[in-house]
Amino acid sequence: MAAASDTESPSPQIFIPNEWSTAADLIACAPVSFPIAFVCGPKNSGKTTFSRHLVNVLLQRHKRVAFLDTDVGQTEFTPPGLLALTVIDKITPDLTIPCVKTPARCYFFGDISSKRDPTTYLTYIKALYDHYMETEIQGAGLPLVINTPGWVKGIGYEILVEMLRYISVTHVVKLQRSVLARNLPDGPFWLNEGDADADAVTTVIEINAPSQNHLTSMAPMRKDARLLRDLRLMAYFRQCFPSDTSISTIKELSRALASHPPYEIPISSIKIKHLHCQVATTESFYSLNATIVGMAINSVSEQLPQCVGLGIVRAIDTFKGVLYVITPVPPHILEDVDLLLQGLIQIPISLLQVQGCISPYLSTNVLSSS
Amino acid sequence: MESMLGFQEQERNDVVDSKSHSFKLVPWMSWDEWKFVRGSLFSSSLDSVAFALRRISTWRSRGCIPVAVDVTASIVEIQQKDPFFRNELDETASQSEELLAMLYCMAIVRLVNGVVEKTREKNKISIGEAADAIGIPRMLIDIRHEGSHRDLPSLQLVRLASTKALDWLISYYWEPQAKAIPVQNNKTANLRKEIKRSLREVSLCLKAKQMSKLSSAHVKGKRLKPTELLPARSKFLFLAAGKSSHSNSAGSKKLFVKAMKNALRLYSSFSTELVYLLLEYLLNAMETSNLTEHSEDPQFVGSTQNNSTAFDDWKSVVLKLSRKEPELLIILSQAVLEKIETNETMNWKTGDHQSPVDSAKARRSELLSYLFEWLVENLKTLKPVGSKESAETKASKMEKHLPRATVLGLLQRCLLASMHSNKQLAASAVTLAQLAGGSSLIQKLKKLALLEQPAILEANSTGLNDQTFLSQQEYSILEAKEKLESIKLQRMQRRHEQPGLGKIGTKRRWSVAKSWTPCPIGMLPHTIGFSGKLPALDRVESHGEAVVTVSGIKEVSDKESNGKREAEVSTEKMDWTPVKKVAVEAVCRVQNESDSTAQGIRGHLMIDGVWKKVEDRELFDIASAIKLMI
Repeated sequence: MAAASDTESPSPQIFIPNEWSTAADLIACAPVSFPIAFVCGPKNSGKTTFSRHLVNVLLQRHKRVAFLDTDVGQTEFTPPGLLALTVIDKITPDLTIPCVKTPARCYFFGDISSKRDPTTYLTYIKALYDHYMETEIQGAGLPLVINTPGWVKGIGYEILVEMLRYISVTHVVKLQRSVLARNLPDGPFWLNEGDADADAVTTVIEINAPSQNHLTSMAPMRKDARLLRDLRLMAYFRQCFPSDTSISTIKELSRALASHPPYEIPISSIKIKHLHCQVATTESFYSLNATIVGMAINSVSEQLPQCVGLGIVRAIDTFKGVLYVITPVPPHILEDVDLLLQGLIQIPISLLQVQGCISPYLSTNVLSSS
Repeated sequence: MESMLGFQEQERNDVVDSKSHSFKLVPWMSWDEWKFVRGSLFSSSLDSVAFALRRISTWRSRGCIPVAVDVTASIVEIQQKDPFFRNELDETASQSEELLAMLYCMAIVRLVNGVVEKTREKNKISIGEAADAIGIPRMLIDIRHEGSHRDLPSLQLVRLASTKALDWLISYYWEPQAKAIPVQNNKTANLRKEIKRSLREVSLCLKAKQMSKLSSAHVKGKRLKPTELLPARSKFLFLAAGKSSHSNSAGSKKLFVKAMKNALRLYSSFSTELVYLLLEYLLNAMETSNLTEHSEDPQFVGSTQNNSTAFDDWKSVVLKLSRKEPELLIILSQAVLEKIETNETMNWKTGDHQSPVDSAKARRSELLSYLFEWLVENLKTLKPVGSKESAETKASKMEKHLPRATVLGLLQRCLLASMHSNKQLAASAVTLAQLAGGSSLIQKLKKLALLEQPAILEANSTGLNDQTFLSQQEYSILEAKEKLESIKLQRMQRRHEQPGLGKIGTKRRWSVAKSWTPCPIGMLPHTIGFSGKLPALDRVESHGEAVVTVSGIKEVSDKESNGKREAEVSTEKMDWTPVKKVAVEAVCRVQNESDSTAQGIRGHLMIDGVWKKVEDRELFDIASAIKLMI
């Protein structure tokens, strides 16, 4: 769904520092045909905002810009849990508005952090980059903006390094926070000691995180991340309904979803894969019912099943032998889906809570301490 | 922060909302599931424990498992691997002590981190203090410390600690949680009792009320509401009620209102159970009474009258309740149909139609059909109930209580059940079609009834000698063959009509459910009502493409779960019913073909009550199989 507001309303709460504008312009005017910018930095340093600003700046010179989103917990244009390559052709003036776009290619990682399976995570990112190189480079060439997760220590750091070593980036934008210990190391940190000079093509730009971010403490931000994920998911499933239907509140959306005629798919014609947990085959429906799944195509590539979107397994009828799935994926694409991937993307509680229609998985009297 | 979807503002409210109602996302579908897992986890049976561990690991995959459940399962699982707890002398296949100690130790680390760390505010109190506050054994804290920072604690120590940990988890989580489970935990038996009592109360009150009405009418000659006029009673009851009405008619009315309220309350929360019990009462009352076509006839005298009264009493209970809750009639009709269906399948299994058990069954299905006819008749009368309101609201109310889709759904099931030459069901079907208001539908039903004639004849002939029986069967098979030919022809024609659609193109894996009633996510819809029902999620091990042979008809089952039933049918040697069923239902399909509502079932054949995708080749197979039989 494209942003509903086409009116030019600049985002009032967001102030782009001069340093940022300069950095973005530097990348946009770089003497390469299409810049590949890698935006990294610790949590809360404004990576996402800078990335989107950069996309807007690039769109002034290029018709389309590719966006590789590797932050599975706080995705930009897709619901959480997806690793996606999206092509953007329109400036979104208000950077605060989250908007859902259909990616050019995506994979369902199925968790909100890469920590559970770094190998698969990197495999998917490399595959997305390869796809970008294979398909887009031949034409006029699209600039690429890569947004990264804020996990810059330990394994998170190693993942960033491996990404940088695989992708031939032209610019690395490092956002720095005032607390030095949280930041990434200085300079081209992904290179080994010896070959620091070998990679002269890459420009490293170090800019500071806006100061107002220091005021927001970490605790409420984390809570907001959960909320943002839920909102993304709801915005995604809002697409099940035509945009002119009057669904403006969460209550209306959950009611609409509960009454929405789902797709039915014979159990025999679909594979089910649990990504992050071991589930006995006999138990898989207990695991699947009322959860969010990635809708994937297994027939093309079994190692890298492409994902076409998310679905809610809204019910399972073992007597009829069918699964009922709610998904906004258009029917002609859906037809190829033969694999449901279950990760750990939790369904927003408010979607299960329709008045007079409370899902069985919502319970009262649960001991709070547990 | 604004959102283009306008969700944001609402979200804040909803968060507060959900907190005030304290709904929590849990991985189990019901507290019953939780209790069952609890029972199995701590049972002495290895199989039960294995089941509980499997289920808990499924819960983990849902992502919202309480840490206490998670850790309990881990410790139990490790103990299962420990020969010390298995009471087995054979230690050859077991883990090394080192490995076991590591497993135990990690489970304990996770327990302390998961349970204690969450309850304490970081840096404010020490972990020791926090442990004391929730009564966790000190030993566990020490093992966590030792295991994380120093040497691996000995197996003897961690083994002992694991038992302590389990005891503590039981007292900290499992028992308090079991106690905190809401009212539903008063057993279903209690619920049944309560519903039964409430229903009987309504019935008694109604009886008393009607007695008094009748008597007062008798005395004062007042007018009677026709709906409340019931068949004549025995003189004794009549008089008894008359007496009581003089003494405490006001009191009885109060009682009745109270009883109704109670019953309606129970209905709103436990509709399925109430309907089920009500149906039981109705059937029992019918069974004891000597019910015939003339049971409404007030001329009846003698002992049968009392019994027939019992049924009438229950009928009036149904009417009273359905006036307040019109859905009741529909649910009840459905329940009756369900019973008829199960009855039929049982008849199939037994095959022999002359045993006394079967005659009882036949009687039962007769009663059921009779009841269904009566219910459907009353569905019709739902309309004039709201006669006090204007015509418009009446219509909308009608639509609300009796949506067309529901009526069609009932009709469909009714037709399926009426396969077995049931006149009453067929009549009910026509009534339903009238309710649904499709004149073409009624026409088709009439045609269908004509086609069914031979089947009915044949069913009546079961008492005749085998010769006739066989010839009848032969006739029906011939007929089936013709029907199949016509289906084949239709398919070919259709193929001709749409040359653009190739063979693969027409195949749709994903299709939108044809009818859908709103229901909570995670539940299956009832045909009516918004309550939904819990799905059965046990997965039967896939046996791929089971080829089931039904009396020489090859049929590929693409379902895993209903293979069993088909197999049962196929074992009958002389049971020709499936063939007939295929034939007659094929006719149904042809009938439906022109109907726009039947779009989704094109290219399917109803076999054993299930729409199966049928390719041309399969049709030829079926046809040739039938030829072979002739």
